[in-house]
Amino acid sequence: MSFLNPWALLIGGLALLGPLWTHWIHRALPKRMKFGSFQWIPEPDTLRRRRKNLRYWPLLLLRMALVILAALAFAKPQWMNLQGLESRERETAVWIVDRSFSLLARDESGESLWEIQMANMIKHLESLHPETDLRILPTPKPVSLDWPEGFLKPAEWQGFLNKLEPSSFGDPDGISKSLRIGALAFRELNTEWPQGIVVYSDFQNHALLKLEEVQLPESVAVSCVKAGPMKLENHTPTFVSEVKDGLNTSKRSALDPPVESGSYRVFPPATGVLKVTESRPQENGTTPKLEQIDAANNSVFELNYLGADDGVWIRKLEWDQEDALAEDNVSYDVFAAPRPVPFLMAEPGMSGPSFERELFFVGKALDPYSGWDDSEAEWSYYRTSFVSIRDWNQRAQSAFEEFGPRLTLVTPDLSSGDASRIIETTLDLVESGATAWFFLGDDYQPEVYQRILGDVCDLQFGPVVDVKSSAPLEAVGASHPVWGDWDSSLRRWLRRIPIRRRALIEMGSGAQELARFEDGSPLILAQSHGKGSIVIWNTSADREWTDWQTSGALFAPTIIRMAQWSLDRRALSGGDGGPESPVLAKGTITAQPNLILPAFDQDSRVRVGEHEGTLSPSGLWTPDSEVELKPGLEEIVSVDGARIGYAVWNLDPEESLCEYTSGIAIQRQLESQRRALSGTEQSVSALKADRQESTLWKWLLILALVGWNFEIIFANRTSPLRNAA
Amino acid sequence: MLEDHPLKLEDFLSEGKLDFQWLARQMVHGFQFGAHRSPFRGAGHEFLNRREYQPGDPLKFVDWKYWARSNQWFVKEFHRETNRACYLFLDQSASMDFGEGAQNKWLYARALAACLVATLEQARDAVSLQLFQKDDFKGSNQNSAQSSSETSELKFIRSAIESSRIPSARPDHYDTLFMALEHLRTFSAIRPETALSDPTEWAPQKGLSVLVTDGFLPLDSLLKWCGDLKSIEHEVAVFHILNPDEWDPPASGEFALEELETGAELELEWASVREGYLKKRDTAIQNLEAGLRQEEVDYCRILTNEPLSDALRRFFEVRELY
Repeated sequence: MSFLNPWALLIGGLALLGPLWTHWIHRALPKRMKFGSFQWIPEPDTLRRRRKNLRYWPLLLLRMALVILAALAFAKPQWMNLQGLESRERETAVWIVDRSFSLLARDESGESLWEIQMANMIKHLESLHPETDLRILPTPKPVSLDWPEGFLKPAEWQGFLNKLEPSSFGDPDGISKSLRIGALAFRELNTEWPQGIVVYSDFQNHALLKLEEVQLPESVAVSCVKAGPMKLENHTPTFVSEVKDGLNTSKRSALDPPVESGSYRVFPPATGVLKVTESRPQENGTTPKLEQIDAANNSVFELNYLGADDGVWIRKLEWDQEDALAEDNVSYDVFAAPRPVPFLMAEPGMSGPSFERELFFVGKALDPYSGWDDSEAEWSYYRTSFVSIRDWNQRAQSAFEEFGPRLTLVTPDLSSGDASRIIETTLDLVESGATAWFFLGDDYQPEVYQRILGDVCDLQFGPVVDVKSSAPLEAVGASHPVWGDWDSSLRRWLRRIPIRRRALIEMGSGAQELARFEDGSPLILAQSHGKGSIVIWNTSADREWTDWQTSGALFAPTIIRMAQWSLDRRALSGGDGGPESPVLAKGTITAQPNLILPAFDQDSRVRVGEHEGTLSPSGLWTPDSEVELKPGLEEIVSVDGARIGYAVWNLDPEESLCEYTSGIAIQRQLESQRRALSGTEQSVSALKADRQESTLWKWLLILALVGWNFEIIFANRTSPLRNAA
Repeated sequence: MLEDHPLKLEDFLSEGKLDFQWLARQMVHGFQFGAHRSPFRGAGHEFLNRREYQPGDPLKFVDWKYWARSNQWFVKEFHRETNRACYLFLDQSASMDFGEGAQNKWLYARALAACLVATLEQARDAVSLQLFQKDDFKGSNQNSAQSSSETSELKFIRSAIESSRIPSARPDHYDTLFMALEHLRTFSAIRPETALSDPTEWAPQKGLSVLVTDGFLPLDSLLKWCGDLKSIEHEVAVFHILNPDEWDPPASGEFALEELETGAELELEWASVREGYLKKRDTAIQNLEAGLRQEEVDYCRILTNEPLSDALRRFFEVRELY
């Protein structure tokens, strides 16, 4: 057990003297009196005088217990197991501090988010153990300050923190880069004890998405301390992950909880008209409400009619002009709506749970305004977005012909009696220009697929295999038709989609492979058919075969991009011609690293991975020869085997950035820090209110104790204590 | 009357002070002493009145001066002085000064003595107040800047205390006794041989000796003293004054007791010593009573919480005067 305010224990110990003193001055002193008949008193050696000085022991113990309770309440004990106690002297923490310009936005009380964030950090800093090894990584890194690169004690960080200011030079990947550095720092830990990284940010601009991309060591826990209440954020489906012990445990949308009512400031002032669409989830669908706000004249706009109390959610915020999209550091990014999918046609039936779940996941992924949680209670909401093939009729046919090609979602539930008609209808639609998606799952039967798709696809469906350790996907190059425009780091993490089970599918020359595993088996296959195409997903859309819906922010963007690609491809090809050949990146890259490492006094021989080089006193590492480096993590060691740090090689040769962390021994980090911060994702005003409330009752307790004792101390002789004496 | 309305000492206390003369006379007037033979007319020193000469009257009582002025034969009558003198002894040992307020033994003893003086005044008996310790009375104000009036008052008090030791039945003598009683005080470390000195030195004639004490004098000395008095034909009575707390100490409680005689301190828990205390008390009382009974001394034990009138009544019952 540790205490956040150990001084309170000292004061409490001193306060214990109060009741002791009170009882001591009122102890059972013998009453002094003159006496005449001494001759009748027995001999003094027969006297037995009781040595009981203090009286009313239960009352004294009660008073002391109350004092101890009050002291403990102020001391804020933090419980941990013995292992944590043993490591208390060796705790280590890494803080990542977002100092983007968006933190200059102010909340309802006029306090800027930066001030709130600084207050949180100072409070946290003061609560740390004085011997804590702390490293603070501001992002972007302050250029004007000689910012320390290593671990310092909390007291040494105080001055540096006070010099920090928000910067207009935002780095969209700054937080994720810093998180990787922090994670690597913790990688040296070989312990089950949870470690912690604390991220201080307002979590605008994909910050949480970036965080999620970082694969953390299993023992590292990340706590996010958000400055200010939840605000409008990017409206692309962004998933917030809460990482505990290296595992992504839950997800929710950036819009969950709903946007709060109140005044919101657009920073920097943008031009254009803000459209606010209000809706609430209900069986009958969305009840839109549109409000247009001229942000050019109203930098502060009110959303007072919104709020969670009446169940109203903001579903959509968009500017009428794309120019309104400012840089990354605007407070409220304008959501770039994905190209809408006119109709999503689905397999009839909708009876199996597998279908419902897949419908739910894909529907949510394609709904840019959806909140994201694991509750499937809302699946019926998306049902209205689908047109059932079972109910395919002339009206649907007319709409199909009017609006053009559709995307058809086909689940593997083909065992029903209508399977033949469904497939026949689906293939007719595909031939007319639609794209049909087949997700495999637990009810996948190779012979059924071979029977219904063997004639139109150059594929050979094989049995299902379990993959104990998910094989990575093969790297995707910048020219990939689906993910090519993604950020390189995002593409890199795309390789780590966890898929536990997949079907062995052999591909013929007529099929197109959009993604494959490193062992060569395909993940996404496309086959042209008529004016449309058929896409085979070698995994389930729900969580039967994979967890990628909930373990990363890749699922929804992938679904969206695949939908876009399907429609674009059809549009570009005019509904004719096969798909373009995907461009996959090579497995290795060639780079001339320009690595800056912690400098030694003289030229030193340092090995990065398998490649030796010379490290100059200026910190520049030059390999002996041109080397080929595989993307990923490389260990940096000196020639005598001492580890210096790690280098992380990015995927693209043109972005051969090298990141490193110093190789000092990483110690443990207190569980108490993570606990202390786990509940800070509430608004600062709520925190203040809680603190004031808790402080109030503590002081009331102290006043009651003091008053109780003073009543005794200054009471006259007729007080109950004296009378009892 | 007094049986219905017993007079208590605290009824006469005013701001801790007591007017002994007023108390005594108020107390004694409640008793009916009409059966007493005094006043006696006869030989004496105090003039009573004149009456006409009757044959047979001794010629020595003829008022010759009056005959010379008026040529009438008158004889002078005097108060006959009794041949019984009463000697009051007050135990002045410091142990007497125990008790709060009206239950203080010393106050109670002096009030009782005053009542006896008033009673003897009714009977015109000569009264003497004998002291255990000669008191060079200096009063309460020891300031060197005393006024001359204070000095003369102190001298007067000292003279009154001194003269009160001589038995006399003069009316002003009783006032002197009351004044002496008011200013007497206790002394610590009184030696018994000094206090209970040979009675033949101060009691040449037979009479009544009354000792008011708390009984903490050495029993041997006390009994010898009583025996000496009996040998010169004195009747002896002993008032044994005890405070209720001495007679029946608290059942429990931790106390630091200071001995009044020597100032020695003793811390005790009454619960642990009470049984032994009562045992020693009973033994001491039994020995005292047995010794006094053997010496044919009247004995009366009084607790200071008793009404003073009851104490007087018990004394007179013992003395068969009431």
